[in-house]
Amino acid sequence: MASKIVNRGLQVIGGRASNTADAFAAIQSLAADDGTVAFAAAHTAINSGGAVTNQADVDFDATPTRAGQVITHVATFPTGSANFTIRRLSLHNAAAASVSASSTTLVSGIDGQSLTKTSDFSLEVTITITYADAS
Amino acid sequence: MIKDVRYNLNCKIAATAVMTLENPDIDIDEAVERLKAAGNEIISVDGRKVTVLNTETHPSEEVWACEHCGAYSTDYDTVLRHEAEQHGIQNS
Repeated sequence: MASKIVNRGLQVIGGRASNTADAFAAIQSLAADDGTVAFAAAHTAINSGGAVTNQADVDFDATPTRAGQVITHVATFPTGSANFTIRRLSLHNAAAASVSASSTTLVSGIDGQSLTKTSDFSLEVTITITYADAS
Repeated sequence: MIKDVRYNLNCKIAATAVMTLENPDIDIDEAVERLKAAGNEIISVDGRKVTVLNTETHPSEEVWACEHCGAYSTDYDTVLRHEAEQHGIQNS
């Protein structure tokens, strides 16, 4: 299991914070997929490391919150969504409707999971990112 | 100076996943057994909410960035060399 903010995600975060001309969209959705490849720094999309069979995307339930240097993102997959063995979770800087396996929207991800969801359940995922100065 | 623009966010990502039983036709004990049978690791059960993932993972890797064009690398010397070769910036 590993987590990573990919290089593109670092660009999005830095670009948004410094209001660069890139005009990156905000991080606003969460995806679940069944890919078994670990996220790598150069990845820009869910399928950068190889094709995935199943994938589901949802917008955040509410605007992410901040406490200190910790940003909390919460999203809920309804009963009819993400009903497969979830191997990876990822954050994206596009609305869920615009996120696909190949969309260049990947910001960060956690891999190496094994969560089997069924239609009996909804699934609320909380992803926190803690920022720390390492200088 | 490149050493003054260290864009290392040193980020730590943690995730929690909570499944809520929405099907009124099965009780939570049965649902939990189904989740276990499906291979889920049950962290805790609270009413109809079942926590199946709760983890903190290691920090992301460091990234150094060129202060001139933003090119980046995890390797400090690579960025240092890039700045000198591409932009004529001599870091002391």
